[in-house]
Amino acid sequence: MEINETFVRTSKNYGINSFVVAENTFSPKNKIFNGFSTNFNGVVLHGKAIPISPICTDSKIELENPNISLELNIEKNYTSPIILNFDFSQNDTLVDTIKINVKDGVTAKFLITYTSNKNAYHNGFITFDCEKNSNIDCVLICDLSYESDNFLNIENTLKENSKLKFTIVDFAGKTSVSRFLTDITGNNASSQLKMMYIGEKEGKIDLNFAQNIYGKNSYALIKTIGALQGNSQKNFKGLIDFKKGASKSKGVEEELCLTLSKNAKSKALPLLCCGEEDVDGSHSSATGKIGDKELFYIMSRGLSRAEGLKLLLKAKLTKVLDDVFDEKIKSQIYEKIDRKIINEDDRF
Amino acid sequence: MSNLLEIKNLYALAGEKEILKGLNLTIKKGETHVIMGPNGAGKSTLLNTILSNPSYTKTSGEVIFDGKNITNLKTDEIARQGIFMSFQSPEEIPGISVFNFIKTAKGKMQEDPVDYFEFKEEVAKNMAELNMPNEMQKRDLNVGFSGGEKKKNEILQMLELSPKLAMLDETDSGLDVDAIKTVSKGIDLYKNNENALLIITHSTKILEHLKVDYVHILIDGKIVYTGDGSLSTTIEKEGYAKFKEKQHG
Amino acid sequence: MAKTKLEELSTNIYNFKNPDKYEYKMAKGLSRDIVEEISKKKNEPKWMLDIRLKALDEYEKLSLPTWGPDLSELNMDEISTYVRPKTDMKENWEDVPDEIKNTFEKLGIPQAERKYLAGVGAQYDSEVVYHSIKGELLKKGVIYTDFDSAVRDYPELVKEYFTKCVPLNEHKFIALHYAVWSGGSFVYIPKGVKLEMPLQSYFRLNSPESGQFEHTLIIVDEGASLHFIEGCSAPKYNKVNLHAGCVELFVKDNGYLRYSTIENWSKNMLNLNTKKAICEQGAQVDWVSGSFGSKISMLYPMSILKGDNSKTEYTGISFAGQGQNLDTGFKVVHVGKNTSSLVSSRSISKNGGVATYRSLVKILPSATNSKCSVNCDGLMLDSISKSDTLPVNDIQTDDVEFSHEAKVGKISEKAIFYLMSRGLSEDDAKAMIVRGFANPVSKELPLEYAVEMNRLINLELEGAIG
Repeated sequence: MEINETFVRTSKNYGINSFVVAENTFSPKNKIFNGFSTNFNGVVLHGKAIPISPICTDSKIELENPNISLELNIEKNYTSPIILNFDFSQNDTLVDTIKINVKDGVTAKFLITYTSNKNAYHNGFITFDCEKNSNIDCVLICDLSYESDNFLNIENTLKENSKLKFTIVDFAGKTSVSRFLTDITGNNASSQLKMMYIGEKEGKIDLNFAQNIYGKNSYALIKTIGALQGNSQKNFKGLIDFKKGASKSKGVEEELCLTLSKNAKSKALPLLCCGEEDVDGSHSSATGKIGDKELFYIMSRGLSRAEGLKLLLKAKLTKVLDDVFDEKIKSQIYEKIDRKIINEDDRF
Repeated sequence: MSNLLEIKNLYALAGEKEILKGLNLTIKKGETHVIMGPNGAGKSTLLNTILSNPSYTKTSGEVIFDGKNITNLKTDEIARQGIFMSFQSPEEIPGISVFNFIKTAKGKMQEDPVDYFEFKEEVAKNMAELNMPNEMQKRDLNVGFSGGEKKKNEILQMLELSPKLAMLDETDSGLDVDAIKTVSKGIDLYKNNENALLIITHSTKILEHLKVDYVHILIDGKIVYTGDGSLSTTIEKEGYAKFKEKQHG
Repeated sequence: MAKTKLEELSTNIYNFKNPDKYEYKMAKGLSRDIVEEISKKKNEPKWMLDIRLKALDEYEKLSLPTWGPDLSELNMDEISTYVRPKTDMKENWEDVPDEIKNTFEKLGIPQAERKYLAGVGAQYDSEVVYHSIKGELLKKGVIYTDFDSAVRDYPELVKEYFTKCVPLNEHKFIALHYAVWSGGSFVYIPKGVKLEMPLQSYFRLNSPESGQFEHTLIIVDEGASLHFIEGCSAPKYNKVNLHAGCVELFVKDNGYLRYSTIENWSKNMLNLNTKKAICEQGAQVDWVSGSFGSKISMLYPMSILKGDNSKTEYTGISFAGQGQNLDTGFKVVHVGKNTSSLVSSRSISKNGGVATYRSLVKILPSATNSKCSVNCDGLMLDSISKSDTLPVNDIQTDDVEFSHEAKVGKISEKAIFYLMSRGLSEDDAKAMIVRGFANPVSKELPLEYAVEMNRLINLELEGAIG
């Protein structure tokens, strides 16, 4: 199973699964990663961890063992966010598995960041196992340079009455494949995923998000907002699946893609599956450019076209950032968005 | 004169919460009763419970209508006995026109199919009385209707279905002066010596044109005081404080 | 540990069976001889036979789809028996299942029609109705004839358009269709002719093998307008359980075509119909579709908005009941500038039925200033049924307004209470709400069809509740 495969089979003609990783211009040299830092006491570093086979079949890179394998047991409440930082300045290859076990009734926040300013290969597998009544907020920021390839797989299990709020910010490089799968197994649980991405140049973004609702009275949200510049492309595959027995549950899937250039290509497959009568499911998906009317209004207040577009774009993109719990982090993200949006010829 | 509606010691829950705590009420034919009370006292709950709304559960007590025990009957059976409720926020039902809906409901009430042309004329007449534009009957039931339009539509249904007891749940709330006048007119057209009215309201505006026989104060799930028509004016001036004390004191 | 979970995810969701099972002994099922026999019997010109044989080649090369409902019960070996032309189509009325006979009764279908619809009456006299309008049509230059005759009488016209909308190798069942097609309608509306009265395929379905592999080809010339109605709400019964028809629609500059269908194939049928329309400049194609019957349906009408300023609208409803798997949807490709599409699809599932909405919206880079809006709603009437929405949206230009919305859920309890408070029983209240849900489709159909459709919905619901 590849992480970018649709959850329900579709015709090959649609090309929603075709994702060819660009020929890599580098091969990972460094199999050791020493750019990891954290503020959490009690990270268990495994020497030998779960092997990961190549998670994108077109990738020519084969890596056997993760070079960072962590296990965190969250057994009490943490008021300040737990930080897991992966800095690629000394290395170019990171294959990480992060297993986070959240015990009953625990509340904690996480900030996971991956940063590089040169070629990097990242292949990560993160799992959150949330016991009942737990409450987790996680902000994950991928800020890798354009030449990088990023593969991210997140799988979660939520038990009774637990809540998981995940925010992913992806400043995508030439390859970014991410997958998010949550099984809401208990009743009254809630799983929210908010994701923002910005594609540029020849970048390819492939998103695969699924919320499987098994429990009663539960809630699932997938909200994805992104912008595509240059010749970048994105494939979005989202799924809200109400399994039989998930009565009185609610699921919402929203996807918005703003195309900032003529060559940007957006493909979406927002799935809504239902095997239970007493549910409330909805999804919406939209693709388009910034409206002329909105732009005109902003410009009539004195901003230049470029400034106006940036403003409107930021306003839309940041709608998924309301769960980012730290104002400083939020403003860092805003700044980065500012720098990422490029003034391309006559677009602005 | 025999009792049309008798509610005996009714206890009811809304969800898990007990709202009605031993409510008693008797309405005779030809009478007009008004229920007033603070928000959350149980006024809407009472009407919904009489109609066996599945969101409410009767835990104890009885509801007798025209000699028949209707406590455990289903909503439609109760409606067909001759009880009608004008909803505070009527549901929007897309795909069914006002005309077809009322015609079908009327057919159920009479247990006889409705003559198309007679019905068409009658509806046109009633709509005119209620200042409703004729084209409204083609619109989907309540879909996109303003507050006033929805309420008028409820009154139209009341006129067409001619129930023995009409229960109006805050039919005047959110309406402007003209709309209230129209609703009053509708009630007037409906009311006679054989049927009865049960009105829930906060304001007295709608009562101005009616001959009110009894005003009940409902506080904390029970009727704590019953007076004549003038009681409503008293409430408007003084509020419920006096009666809340009375209840506890 | 993680890997097993991933595998489960991929194989269990839709009980996707082992692909090997789909490899049938194809050559045995259909051979050149049979295809030649069909062509000979119809006295077809050589060019038509050539097309059939080419299609046969494609049929043998193509494989069955690896997605969608499970078609393994289709016995491809028996295809030859399906398609061999019969001189004597005398089935027995006694063999027609009781369920079908009962439905005819409840829908108030007249005796004569019943036999015809059950494939038992050989010569149903729909000719009578047809003759009465024939004069009108001739005066206007309208050609409306069965496809076999069209090949004979209007070869140039047919040759110009045949297979140009739906190519031979589009998929396996189309290839099959082109190899063995028989019957169907051919319509040509000349420039500027606006036909007030709808044409119905019902008028012309009186050839013995009709129904399974009919080919419909409609050409609406510049500025002309037509409403064509296919099918009827009475169940169409046939011992042979595969329907692989094809509909090709060509609408020229500023032409208008409305194509309405109510399909209610009997519950043993596999309905794999292909319908496509090509719109030239300023043209418009509206699809209205109600799918009720058949055991398995794979139905994806498609509009290609080739010319600038062309438009298409799709309004559809499907009702999946016990034992049914209705996989339907709509496809639209925007090629020209300023094109617009509006898709509204609804599905109802009950009693274990599976309703799947599968669609494609493709907006090519050339389709600047295009608009597309898709709306799909699923209504679940119990928790043993399924309602899935699988839309694929492929947007390749930035100058576009595209939105897609979908909802799934059950009938609102508040709505049921409201209707019951007016004296309707719970069943009646639900039926009224479901009919209201289907209203966008029924209001687009001519009155008799709408009435039939409502009666059909009532019948379907009775089945569930009663």
